[in-house]
Amino acid sequence: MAKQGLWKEAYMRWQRVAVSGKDNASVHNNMAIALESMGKTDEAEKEYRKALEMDPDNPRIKANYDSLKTFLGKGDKVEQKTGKEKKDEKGEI
Amino acid sequence: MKTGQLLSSIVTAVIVMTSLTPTACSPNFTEVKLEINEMKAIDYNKYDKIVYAALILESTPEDFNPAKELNDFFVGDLSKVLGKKIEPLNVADIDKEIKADTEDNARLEKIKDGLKESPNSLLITGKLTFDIKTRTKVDEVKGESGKKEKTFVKVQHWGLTMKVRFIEMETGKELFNKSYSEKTAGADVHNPKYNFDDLFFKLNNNFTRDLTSKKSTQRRYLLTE
Repeated sequence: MAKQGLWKEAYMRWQRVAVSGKDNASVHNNMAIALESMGKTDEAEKEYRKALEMDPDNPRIKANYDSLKTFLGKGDKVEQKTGKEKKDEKGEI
Repeated sequence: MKTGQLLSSIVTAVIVMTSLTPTACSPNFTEVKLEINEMKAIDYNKYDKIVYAALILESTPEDFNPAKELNDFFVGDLSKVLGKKIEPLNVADIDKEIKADTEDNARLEKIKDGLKESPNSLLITGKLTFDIKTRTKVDEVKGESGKKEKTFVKVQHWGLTMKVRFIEMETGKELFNKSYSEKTAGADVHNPKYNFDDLFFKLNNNFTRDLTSKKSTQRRYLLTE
Protein backbone atom coordinates (compact mmCIF):
# COMPACT_ATOMS: atom_id res chain seq x y z
CA MET A 1 0.00 0.00 0.00
CA ALA A 2 2.80 2.37 0.92
CA LYS A 3 4.56 1.70 -2.38
CA GLN A 4 1.34 2.27 -4.25
CA GLY A 5 0.89 5.59 -2.47
CA LEU A 6 4.34 6.72 -3.52
CA TRP A 7 3.75 5.70 -7.12
CA LYS A 8 0.60 7.80 -6.97
CA GLU A 9 2.59 10.74 -5.70
CA ALA A 10 5.17 10.27 -8.45
CA TYR A 11 2.38 10.01 -11.01
CA MET A 12 0.88 13.29 -9.85
CA ARG A 13 4.24 15.02 -10.17
CA TRP A 14 4.77 13.72 -13.69
CA GLN A 15 1.22 14.67 -14.54
CA ARG A 16 1.92 18.19 -13.37
CA VAL A 17 4.88 18.34 -15.75
CA ALA A 18 2.70 17.00 -18.56
CA VAL A 19 -0.03 19.55 -17.93
CA SER A 20 2.51 22.38 -17.83
CA GLY A 21 3.35 21.60 -21.46
CA LYS A 22 6.92 20.63 -20.65
CA ASP A 23 6.16 16.98 -21.24
CA ASN A 24 8.16 14.64 -23.35
CA ALA A 25 8.21 10.92 -24.11
CA SER A 26 9.95 10.13 -20.82
CA VAL A 27 7.25 11.81 -18.77
CA HIS A 28 4.48 9.84 -20.47
CA ASN A 29 6.45 6.61 -20.25
CA ASN A 30 6.97 7.11 -16.53
CA MET A 31 3.33 8.07 -16.01
CA ALA A 32 2.39 4.81 -17.73
CA ILE A 33 4.56 2.80 -15.34
CA ALA A 34 3.03 4.55 -12.34
CA LEU A 35 -0.44 3.84 -13.71
CA GLU A 36 0.45 0.17 -14.20
CA SER A 37 1.57 -0.07 -10.60
CA MET A 38 -1.84 1.28 -9.59
CA GLY A 39 -3.60 -1.30 -11.73
CA LYS A 40 -4.84 1.29 -14.24
CA THR A 41 -3.66 -0.61 -17.26
CA ASP A 42 -5.96 0.99 -19.82
CA GLU A 43 -4.74 4.46 -18.92
CA ALA A 44 -1.18 3.14 -18.88
CA GLU A 45 -1.59 1.92 -22.45
CA LYS A 46 -2.70 5.40 -23.54
CA GLU A 47 0.31 7.00 -21.90
CA TYR A 48 2.69 4.54 -23.56
CA ARG A 49 1.10 5.38 -26.90
CA LYS A 50 1.59 9.10 -26.28
CA ALA A 51 5.21 8.40 -25.37
CA LEU A 52 5.68 6.40 -28.57
CA GLU A 53 4.12 9.15 -30.65
CA MET A 54 6.72 11.54 -29.25
CA ASP A 55 9.61 9.12 -29.52
CA PRO A 56 8.66 6.23 -31.84
CA ASP A 57 12.10 4.67 -31.93
CA ASN A 58 12.82 4.56 -28.24
CA PRO A 59 13.58 0.90 -27.49
CA ARG A 60 12.82 1.23 -23.76
CA ILE A 61 9.34 2.63 -24.33
CA LYS A 62 8.69 -0.03 -26.97
CA ALA A 63 9.83 -2.71 -24.55
CA ASN A 64 7.60 -1.35 -21.78
CA TYR A 65 4.60 -1.17 -24.09
CA ASP A 66 5.20 -4.69 -25.41
CA SER A 67 5.57 -6.03 -21.87
CA LEU A 68 2.27 -4.49 -20.87
CA LYS A 69 0.58 -5.95 -23.95
CA THR A 70 1.98 -9.37 -23.15
CA PHE A 71 0.88 -9.06 -19.52
CA LEU A 72 -2.63 -8.19 -20.64
CA GLY A 73 -2.64 -11.10 -23.05
CA LYS A 74 -3.00 -8.80 -26.02
CA GLY A 75 0.36 -9.86 -27.36
CA ASP A 76 0.59 -7.63 -30.41
CA LYS A 77 3.88 -5.84 -30.73
CA VAL A 78 4.45 -2.14 -31.14
CA GLU A 79 5.44 -2.35 -34.78
CA GLN A 80 2.20 -4.07 -35.78
CA LYS A 81 -0.03 -2.16 -33.42
CA THR A 82 1.03 1.36 -34.16
CA GLY A 83 0.31 0.92 -37.85
CA LYS A 84 -3.16 -0.37 -37.17
CA GLU A 85 -3.80 2.27 -34.56
CA LYS A 86 -2.82 5.00 -36.95
CA LYS A 87 -5.47 3.66 -39.37
CA ASP A 88 -8.03 3.45 -36.57
CA GLU A 89 -7.34 7.00 -35.53
CA LYS A 90 -8.00 8.11 -39.09
CA GLY A 91 -11.24 6.15 -39.08
CA GLU A 92 -9.98 3.51 -41.50
CA ILE A 93 -10.99 0.08 -40.40
CA MET B 1 14.48 23.97 -12.75
CA LYS B 2 14.77 22.42 -16.19
CA THR B 3 12.41 19.58 -17.12
CA GLY B 4 15.33 17.18 -17.30
CA GLN B 5 16.53 18.06 -13.83
CA LEU B 6 13.01 17.88 -12.46
CA LEU B 7 12.47 14.45 -13.99
CA SER B 8 15.76 13.28 -12.72
CA SER B 9 14.96 14.36 -9.18
CA ILE B 10 11.50 12.78 -9.31
CA VAL B 11 12.87 9.49 -10.54
CA THR B 12 15.54 9.49 -7.88
CA ALA B 13 12.94 10.27 -5.24
CA VAL B 14 10.70 7.47 -6.42
CA ILE B 15 13.50 4.95 -6.41
CA VAL B 16 14.71 5.94 -2.97
CA MET B 17 11.32 6.30 -1.37
CA THR B 18 9.79 3.11 -2.63
CA SER B 19 12.74 0.73 -2.58
CA LEU B 20 11.76 -0.34 -6.04
CA THR B 21 14.86 -2.46 -6.37
CA PRO B 22 16.40 -0.89 -9.41
CA THR B 23 18.26 -3.65 -11.20
CA ALA B 24 20.10 -1.76 -13.87
CA CYS B 25 21.09 1.81 -14.43
CA SER B 26 22.33 3.94 -17.26
CA PRO B 27 22.29 7.69 -17.75
CA ASN B 28 18.99 7.31 -19.62
CA PHE B 29 16.97 4.73 -17.81
CA THR B 30 16.45 2.79 -14.62
CA GLU B 31 15.02 -0.67 -14.61
CA VAL B 32 12.37 -1.18 -11.95
CA LYS B 33 10.34 -4.15 -10.80
CA LEU B 34 6.61 -3.81 -10.37
CA GLU B 35 4.61 -6.30 -8.34
CA ILE B 36 1.29 -6.26 -10.12
CA ASN B 37 -1.73 -8.18 -9.02
CA GLU B 38 -2.75 -10.09 -12.12
CA MET B 39 -6.41 -9.43 -11.65
CA LYS B 40 -5.61 -5.77 -11.27
CA ALA B 41 -5.09 -6.09 -14.99
CA ILE B 42 -8.80 -5.47 -15.01
CA ASP B 43 -9.22 -1.82 -14.27
CA TYR B 44 -12.50 -1.95 -12.36
CA ASN B 45 -12.56 1.81 -11.93
CA LYS B 46 -12.91 2.45 -15.62
CA TYR B 47 -16.42 1.02 -15.60
CA ASP B 48 -19.41 3.19 -14.75
CA LYS B 49 -21.04 0.19 -13.18
CA ILE B 50 -20.23 -3.34 -12.14
CA VAL B 51 -23.36 -5.45 -12.19
CA TYR B 52 -24.12 -8.94 -11.03
CA ALA B 53 -26.62 -10.95 -13.04
CA ALA B 54 -27.65 -13.96 -10.99
CA LEU B 55 -25.75 -17.11 -11.84
CA ILE B 56 -27.78 -19.58 -13.87
CA LEU B 57 -28.73 -22.44 -11.58
CA GLU B 58 -28.61 -25.99 -12.80
CA SER B 59 -29.96 -29.07 -11.04
CA THR B 60 -30.91 -27.07 -7.95
CA PRO B 61 -32.33 -29.17 -5.12
CA GLU B 62 -36.09 -28.85 -4.73
CA ASP B 63 -35.92 -27.79 -1.11
CA PHE B 64 -33.24 -25.13 -1.38
CA ASN B 65 -32.63 -22.07 -3.51
CA PRO B 66 -29.20 -20.45 -3.10
CA ALA B 67 -30.14 -17.12 -4.75
CA LYS B 68 -29.85 -15.15 -1.51
CA GLU B 69 -26.49 -16.66 -0.56
CA LEU B 70 -25.13 -15.99 -4.04
CA ASN B 71 -26.43 -12.45 -4.04
CA ASP B 72 -24.92 -11.79 -0.61
CA PHE B 73 -21.56 -13.04 -1.81
CA PHE B 74 -21.39 -11.31 -5.20
CA VAL B 75 -22.96 -8.03 -4.14
CA GLY B 76 -21.52 -7.91 -0.62
CA ASP B 77 -18.25 -9.79 -0.21
CA LEU B 78 -17.01 -9.49 -3.78
CA SER B 79 -17.63 -5.73 -3.78
CA LYS B 80 -15.11 -5.48 -0.95
CA VAL B 81 -12.60 -7.67 -2.80
CA LEU B 82 -12.79 -5.57 -5.97
CA GLY B 83 -12.97 -2.30 -4.05
CA LYS B 84 -15.97 -1.20 -6.06
CA LYS B 85 -19.70 -1.48 -5.56
CA ILE B 86 -21.39 -4.31 -7.40
CA GLU B 87 -25.04 -3.76 -8.19
CA PRO B 88 -27.48 -6.62 -8.51
CA LEU B 89 -29.29 -6.76 -11.81
CA ASN B 90 -32.84 -8.06 -11.91
CA VAL B 91 -32.76 -10.84 -14.50
CA ALA B 92 -35.83 -12.72 -13.30
CA ASP B 93 -37.93 -11.50 -16.22
CA ILE B 94 -35.19 -12.24 -18.72
CA ASP B 95 -34.72 -15.75 -17.39
CA LYS B 96 -38.47 -16.35 -17.49
CA GLU B 97 -38.70 -15.04 -21.01
CA ILE B 98 -35.90 -17.06 -22.51
CA LYS B 99 -36.16 -19.93 -20.05
CA ALA B 100 -32.43 -19.76 -19.65
CA ASP B 101 -30.93 -22.98 -18.59
CA THR B 102 -27.68 -22.15 -20.25
CA GLU B 103 -25.57 -19.01 -20.22
CA ASP B 104 -26.21 -18.53 -23.88
CA ASN B 105 -25.81 -15.42 -25.95
CA ALA B 106 -29.54 -14.71 -25.89
CA ARG B 107 -29.35 -14.05 -22.18
CA LEU B 108 -26.32 -11.82 -22.57
CA GLU B 109 -27.99 -9.89 -25.37
CA LYS B 110 -31.06 -9.27 -23.22
CA ILE B 111 -28.88 -8.18 -20.32
CA LYS B 112 -27.01 -5.83 -22.64
CA ASP B 113 -30.33 -4.33 -23.76
CA GLY B 114 -31.21 -3.76 -20.12
CA LEU B 115 -27.94 -1.89 -19.62
CA LYS B 116 -28.45 0.55 -22.50
CA GLU B 117 -28.37 3.48 -20.09
CA SER B 118 -24.92 2.51 -18.90
CA PRO B 119 -23.18 0.63 -21.69
CA ASN B 120 -19.80 1.02 -20.03
CA SER B 121 -20.54 -1.73 -17.52
CA LEU B 122 -18.77 -4.82 -16.37
CA LEU B 123 -21.04 -7.82 -16.02
CA ILE B 124 -20.39 -10.57 -13.52
CA THR B 125 -22.36 -13.71 -14.14
CA GLY B 126 -21.95 -17.43 -14.69
CA LYS B 127 -23.46 -20.70 -13.74
CA LEU B 128 -23.82 -22.81 -10.62
CA THR B 129 -24.35 -26.52 -11.09
CA PHE B 130 -25.42 -28.91 -8.38
CA ASP B 131 -24.59 -32.57 -8.54
CA ILE B 132 -26.44 -34.32 -5.75
CA LYS B 133 -26.66 -38.07 -5.49
CA THR B 134 -28.68 -39.77 -2.79
CA ARG B 135 -27.51 -43.12 -1.53
CA THR B 136 -28.87 -45.52 1.04
CA LYS B 137 -26.48 -47.06 3.50
CA VAL B 138 -26.77 -49.46 6.37
CA ASP B 139 -26.18 -47.87 9.73
CA GLU B 140 -26.27 -49.15 13.28
CA VAL B 141 -28.41 -47.23 15.75
CA LYS B 142 -29.47 -47.94 19.31
CA GLY B 143 -33.01 -49.26 19.39
CA GLU B 144 -35.59 -48.77 22.17
CA SER B 145 -34.29 -51.84 23.90
CA GLY B 146 -30.83 -50.33 24.00
CA LYS B 147 -29.49 -52.86 21.57
CA LYS B 148 -27.80 -51.85 18.36
CA GLU B 149 -30.04 -52.35 15.39
CA LYS B 150 -29.26 -52.15 11.73
CA THR B 151 -31.21 -49.61 9.80
CA PHE B 152 -31.16 -47.98 6.39
CA VAL B 153 -30.28 -44.28 6.24
CA LYS B 154 -30.11 -41.90 3.35
CA VAL B 155 -26.97 -39.86 2.72
CA GLN B 156 -26.09 -37.52 -0.08
CA HIS B 157 -22.98 -36.81 -2.07
CA TRP B 158 -22.87 -33.16 -3.00
CA GLY B 159 -20.91 -31.61 -5.81
CA LEU B 160 -20.95 -27.93 -6.65
CA THR B 161 -19.41 -26.31 -9.70
CA MET B 162 -19.34 -22.56 -10.07
CA LYS B 163 -18.35 -20.92 -13.31
CA VAL B 164 -17.70 -17.21 -13.06
CA ARG B 165 -17.43 -14.85 -15.99
CA PHE B 166 -16.53 -11.16 -16.15
CA ILE B 167 -17.75 -9.60 -19.38
CA GLU B 168 -17.16 -6.09 -20.61
CA MET B 169 -20.58 -5.18 -21.96
CA GLU B 170 -19.49 -2.46 -24.36
CA THR B 171 -17.13 -4.71 -26.31
CA GLY B 172 -18.40 -8.15 -25.36
CA LYS B 173 -14.86 -9.04 -24.30
CA GLU B 174 -14.58 -11.77 -21.69
CA LEU B 175 -12.05 -10.71 -19.07
CA PHE B 176 -12.37 -13.64 -16.70
CA ASN B 177 -13.76 -17.13 -17.10
CA LYS B 178 -12.99 -19.83 -14.62
CA SER B 179 -14.72 -22.80 -13.06
CA TYR B 180 -14.39 -24.01 -9.48
CA SER B 181 -15.57 -27.36 -8.15
CA GLU B 182 -15.93 -28.87 -4.69
CA LYS B 183 -17.37 -32.16 -3.45
CA THR B 184 -18.46 -33.62 -0.18
CA ALA B 185 -19.51 -37.15 0.70
CA GLY B 186 -21.99 -38.26 3.32
CA ALA B 187 -23.85 -34.98 3.46
CA ASP B 188 -26.94 -34.59 5.62
CA VAL B 189 -30.07 -35.15 3.55
CA HIS B 190 -32.11 -32.87 5.77
CA ASN B 191 -29.84 -29.85 5.71
CA PRO B 192 -29.28 -28.61 2.16
CA LYS B 193 -28.42 -25.10 3.32
CA TYR B 194 -25.62 -26.40 5.51
CA ASN B 195 -24.33 -28.59 2.67
CA PHE B 196 -24.43 -25.66 0.28
CA ASP B 197 -22.77 -23.22 2.67
CA ASP B 198 -20.00 -25.70 3.36
CA LEU B 199 -19.14 -26.15 -0.32
CA PHE B 200 -19.82 -22.61 -1.41
CA PHE B 201 -17.48 -21.25 1.25
CA LYS B 202 -14.65 -23.33 -0.25
CA LEU B 203 -15.55 -22.31 -3.80
CA ASN B 204 -15.70 -18.62 -3.15
CA ASN B 205 -12.49 -18.81 -1.10
CA ASN B 206 -10.66 -20.20 -4.13
CA PHE B 207 -12.29 -17.67 -6.40
CA THR B 208 -11.44 -14.65 -4.28
CA ARG B 209 -7.90 -15.96 -3.81
CA ASP B 210 -7.55 -15.95 -7.59
CA LEU B 211 -8.69 -12.36 -7.66
CA THR B 212 -6.39 -11.13 -4.95
CA SER B 213 -3.23 -13.15 -4.64
CA LYS B 214 -1.80 -13.77 -8.08
CA LYS B 215 1.15 -11.46 -8.27
CA SER B 216 3.26 -10.95 -11.31
CA THR B 217 6.66 -9.34 -11.26
CA GLN B 218 7.01 -6.99 -14.17
CA ARG B 219 10.13 -5.16 -15.28
CA ARG B 220 9.84 -1.69 -16.72
CA TYR B 221 12.22 1.07 -17.73
CA LEU B 222 11.80 4.41 -16.03
CA LEU B 223 13.34 7.05 -18.25
CA THR B 224 15.43 9.74 -16.71
CA GLU B 225 15.56 11.88 -19.81
